[in-house]
Amino acid sequence: MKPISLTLTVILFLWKSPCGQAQGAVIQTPTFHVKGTVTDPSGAVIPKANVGFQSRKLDGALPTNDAGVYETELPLGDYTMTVQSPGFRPYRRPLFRVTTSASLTFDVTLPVAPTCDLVIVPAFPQNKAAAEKEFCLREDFFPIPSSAGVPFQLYVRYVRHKVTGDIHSYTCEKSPNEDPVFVAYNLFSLQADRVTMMKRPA
Amino acid sequence: MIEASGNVIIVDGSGASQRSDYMSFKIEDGQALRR
Repeated sequence: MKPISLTLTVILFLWKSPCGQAQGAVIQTPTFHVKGTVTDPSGAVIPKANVGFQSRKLDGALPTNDAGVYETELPLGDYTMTVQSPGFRPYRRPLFRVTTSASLTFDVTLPVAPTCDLVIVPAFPQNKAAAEKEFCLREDFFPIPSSAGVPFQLYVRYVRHKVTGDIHSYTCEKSPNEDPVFVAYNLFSLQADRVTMMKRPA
Repeated sequence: MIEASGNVIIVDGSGASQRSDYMSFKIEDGQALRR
Protein backbone atom coordinates (compact mmCIF):
# COMPACT_ATOMS: atom_id res chain seq x y z
CA MET A 1 0.00 0.00 0.00
CA LYS A 2 1.37 3.38 -0.96
CA PRO A 3 1.96 5.54 2.10
CA ILE A 4 0.28 8.88 2.36
CA SER A 5 2.78 11.59 1.68
CA LEU A 6 2.80 15.31 2.24
CA THR A 7 5.42 17.53 0.70
CA LEU A 8 5.87 21.12 1.69
CA THR A 9 7.10 23.69 -0.76
CA VAL A 10 7.84 27.10 0.63
CA ILE A 11 7.64 30.21 -1.46
CA LEU A 12 10.36 32.28 0.07
CA PHE A 13 10.03 35.55 -1.72
CA LEU A 14 8.62 37.53 -4.61
CA TRP A 15 10.39 40.41 -6.21
CA LYS A 16 10.11 42.78 -9.12
CA SER A 17 12.54 42.85 -12.00
CA PRO A 18 14.11 46.17 -13.09
CA CYS A 19 11.42 46.53 -15.77
CA GLY A 20 8.73 46.21 -13.18
CA GLN A 21 7.50 42.75 -14.10
CA ALA A 22 6.68 40.62 -11.14
CA GLN A 23 8.60 37.43 -10.92
CA GLY A 24 8.43 34.64 -8.46
CA ALA A 25 10.86 32.17 -7.06
CA VAL A 26 9.87 28.87 -5.63
CA ILE A 27 12.66 27.49 -3.53
CA GLN A 28 12.56 24.05 -2.09
CA THR A 29 13.79 24.31 1.46
CA PRO A 30 15.92 21.49 2.86
CA THR A 31 13.69 18.80 4.23
CA PHE A 32 13.86 15.59 6.16
CA HIS A 33 11.85 12.45 5.71
CA VAL A 34 9.90 10.95 8.58
CA LYS A 35 7.90 7.76 8.55
CA GLY A 36 6.61 5.15 10.91
CA THR A 37 3.97 2.61 11.77
CA VAL A 38 1.32 3.13 14.41
CA THR A 39 0.29 0.01 16.30
CA ASP A 40 -1.63 -1.00 19.40
CA PRO A 41 0.06 -2.87 22.30
CA SER A 42 -0.67 -6.22 20.60
CA GLY A 43 1.17 -5.09 17.47
CA ALA A 44 -1.95 -4.65 15.33
CA VAL A 45 -1.71 -1.68 13.00
CA ILE A 46 -3.97 1.33 13.52
CA PRO A 47 -5.32 2.84 10.27
CA LYS A 48 -6.52 6.43 10.15
CA ALA A 49 -4.61 7.48 13.26
CA ASN A 50 -4.01 11.22 13.24
CA VAL A 51 -0.27 11.96 13.13
CA GLY A 52 0.56 15.60 13.82
CA PHE A 53 3.77 17.62 13.61
CA GLN A 54 4.04 21.04 15.17
CA SER A 55 6.73 23.68 14.80
CA ARG A 56 6.84 27.45 14.95
CA LYS A 57 5.99 27.61 11.26
CA LEU A 58 3.93 24.52 10.73
CA ASP A 59 1.06 22.71 12.41
CA GLY A 60 -0.14 19.88 10.23
CA ALA A 61 -1.40 16.35 10.44
CA LEU A 62 -1.85 13.35 8.22
CA PRO A 63 -3.63 10.02 8.70
CA THR A 64 -2.02 6.61 8.72
CA ASN A 65 -2.97 4.39 5.80
CA ASP A 66 -4.59 0.96 5.98
CA ALA A 67 -1.22 -0.55 6.96
CA GLY A 68 -0.91 1.91 9.85
CA VAL A 69 1.90 3.75 8.05
CA TYR A 70 2.49 7.49 7.84
CA GLU A 71 5.18 9.17 5.80
CA THR A 72 5.98 12.78 5.02
CA GLU A 73 8.66 15.36 4.23
CA LEU A 74 9.09 18.34 6.51
CA PRO A 75 11.39 21.36 6.46
CA LEU A 76 14.38 21.08 8.79
CA GLY A 77 13.67 22.51 12.22
CA ASP A 78 12.35 21.87 15.69
CA TYR A 79 9.17 19.84 16.06
CA THR A 80 6.88 18.15 18.47
CA MET A 81 4.78 15.17 17.41
CA THR A 82 1.41 13.82 18.46
CA VAL A 83 -0.51 10.72 17.44
CA GLN A 84 -4.16 10.20 18.29
CA SER A 85 -6.77 7.60 17.55
CA PRO A 86 -10.15 6.92 19.18
CA GLY A 87 -9.93 4.36 21.98
CA PHE A 88 -6.23 4.95 22.59
CA ARG A 89 -4.11 7.22 24.70
CA PRO A 90 -2.56 10.05 22.75
CA TYR A 91 1.14 9.76 22.00
CA ARG A 92 3.35 12.79 22.49
CA ARG A 93 6.92 13.26 21.49
CA PRO A 94 8.68 16.26 23.01
CA LEU A 95 10.66 18.73 20.98
CA PHE A 96 13.11 17.13 18.57
CA ARG A 97 15.56 18.95 16.32
CA VAL A 98 16.42 17.90 12.77
CA THR A 99 19.34 19.75 11.17
CA THR A 100 20.20 17.46 8.25
CA SER A 101 18.18 15.86 5.47
CA ALA A 102 17.90 12.63 7.39
CA SER A 103 15.37 9.87 7.17
CA LEU A 104 13.76 9.35 10.55
CA THR A 105 11.61 6.50 11.72
CA PHE A 106 9.28 7.04 14.63
CA ASP A 107 7.23 3.90 15.15
CA VAL A 108 4.48 4.50 17.67
CA THR A 109 2.64 2.15 19.99
CA LEU A 110 -0.53 3.75 21.31
CA PRO A 111 -1.55 2.64 24.79
CA VAL A 112 -5.11 1.47 25.19
CA ALA A 113 -7.31 4.06 26.84
CA PRO A 114 -7.88 2.95 30.44
CA THR A 115 -10.93 3.59 32.52
CA CYS A 116 -9.62 6.71 34.21
CA ASP A 117 -8.86 10.08 32.74
CA LEU A 118 -5.33 11.01 31.89
CA VAL A 119 -3.70 12.75 34.81
CA ILE A 120 -0.77 14.97 34.01
CA VAL A 121 1.37 15.21 37.11
CA PRO A 122 4.10 17.79 37.54
CA ALA A 123 7.60 16.33 37.50
CA PHE A 124 7.92 16.90 41.23
CA PRO A 125 4.39 16.88 42.64
CA GLN A 126 3.73 18.65 45.90
CA ASN A 127 1.10 16.12 46.87
CA LYS A 128 2.66 12.76 46.16
CA ALA A 129 -0.20 10.83 47.75
CA ALA A 130 -2.69 12.40 45.37
CA ALA A 131 -0.36 11.80 42.46
CA GLU A 132 -0.18 8.09 43.31
CA LYS A 133 -3.86 7.71 43.95
CA GLU A 134 -5.13 6.60 40.57
CA PHE A 135 -4.21 3.66 38.44
CA CYS A 136 -3.61 5.09 35.03
CA LEU A 137 -0.96 6.36 32.70
CA ARG A 138 0.68 9.61 33.60
CA GLU A 139 3.16 11.87 31.91
CA ASP A 140 6.08 13.93 33.15
CA PHE A 141 8.08 16.49 31.22
CA PHE A 142 11.56 17.36 32.49
CA PRO A 143 13.01 20.43 30.81
CA ILE A 144 16.63 19.71 29.85
CA PRO A 145 17.86 22.63 27.75
CA SER A 146 20.97 21.99 25.72
CA SER A 147 24.15 24.02 26.06
CA ALA A 148 23.08 25.75 22.83
CA GLY A 149 19.78 26.77 24.45
CA VAL A 150 17.54 24.30 22.61
CA PRO A 151 14.57 23.71 24.94
CA PHE A 152 14.68 19.91 24.88
CA GLN A 153 12.46 18.03 27.27
CA LEU A 154 12.64 14.54 28.66
CA TYR A 155 9.22 12.93 28.41
CA VAL A 156 8.22 10.02 30.65
CA ARG A 157 4.97 8.05 30.40
CA TYR A 158 4.40 5.67 33.27
CA VAL A 159 1.90 4.13 35.67
CA ARG A 160 3.69 4.22 39.04
CA HIS A 161 6.10 6.79 40.35
CA LYS A 162 8.14 6.71 43.55
CA VAL A 163 10.57 9.26 44.89
CA THR A 164 13.43 8.26 47.17
CA GLY A 165 15.67 11.18 47.91
CA ASP A 166 16.65 12.57 44.53
CA ILE A 167 15.92 9.31 42.74
CA HIS A 168 12.71 9.04 40.74
CA SER A 169 11.54 5.51 39.93
CA TYR A 170 8.95 4.89 37.23
CA THR A 171 7.34 1.51 36.73
CA CYS A 172 4.88 -0.01 34.30
CA GLU A 173 1.88 -2.27 34.61
CA LYS A 174 1.52 -5.62 32.91
CA SER A 175 -2.20 -5.74 33.38
CA PRO A 176 -4.87 -4.95 32.44
CA ASN A 177 -2.80 -3.44 29.64
CA GLU A 178 0.79 -3.82 28.61
CA ASP A 179 2.02 -0.33 29.44
CA PRO A 180 5.80 -0.14 29.62
CA VAL A 181 7.48 2.99 30.87
CA PHE A 182 8.15 5.12 27.80
CA VAL A 183 10.85 7.79 27.62
CA ALA A 184 11.53 10.15 24.72
CA TYR A 185 14.26 12.74 24.36
CA ASN A 186 14.96 14.46 21.06
CA LEU A 187 15.41 11.60 18.53
CA PHE A 188 15.93 8.95 21.20
CA SER A 189 13.30 6.84 22.91
CA LEU A 190 13.14 3.81 25.13
CA GLN A 191 10.64 1.56 26.81
CA ALA A 192 11.27 -0.62 29.82
CA ASP A 193 9.60 -2.17 32.85
CA ARG A 194 11.40 0.25 35.18
CA VAL A 195 13.20 3.55 34.69
CA THR A 196 15.03 5.47 37.39
CA MET A 197 16.57 8.88 37.10
CA MET A 198 18.03 11.61 39.19
CA LYS A 199 15.80 14.56 40.01
CA ARG A 200 17.89 16.65 37.67
CA PRO A 201 18.97 14.26 34.91
CA ALA A 202 22.57 14.99 34.02
CA MET B 1 21.48 9.85 34.40
CA ILE B 2 18.79 7.35 33.42
CA GLU B 3 18.75 3.67 34.24
CA ALA B 4 16.30 1.35 32.50
CA SER B 5 15.74 -2.27 33.41
CA GLY B 6 13.47 -5.11 32.37
CA ASN B 7 12.66 -5.65 28.68
CA VAL B 8 14.50 -2.51 27.67
CA ILE B 9 14.14 -1.44 24.06
CA ILE B 10 15.87 1.68 22.82
CA VAL B 11 15.27 3.28 19.45
CA ASP B 12 17.28 6.01 17.77
CA GLY B 13 16.05 8.39 15.11
CA SER B 14 16.86 5.97 12.29
CA GLY B 15 14.47 3.45 13.76
CA ALA B 16 17.30 1.08 14.72
CA SER B 17 16.55 -0.65 18.00
CA GLN B 18 18.52 -2.46 20.68
CA ARG B 19 17.20 -4.74 23.38
CA SER B 20 18.66 -5.56 26.74
CA ASP B 21 17.69 -6.27 30.34
CA TYR B 22 19.53 -3.19 31.55
CA MET B 23 20.90 0.02 30.05
CA SER B 24 21.99 3.35 31.47
CA PHE B 25 22.35 6.70 29.78
CA LYS B 26 23.57 10.19 30.31
CA ILE B 27 21.19 12.75 28.86
CA GLU B 28 22.68 15.98 27.53
CA ASP B 29 22.64 18.31 24.55
CA GLY B 30 19.93 16.39 22.74
CA GLN B 31 21.70 13.07 22.99
CA ALA B 32 21.33 9.98 25.13
CA LEU B 33 24.85 8.72 25.69
CA ARG B 34 25.12 5.04 26.63
CA ARG B 35 27.16 4.43 29.77
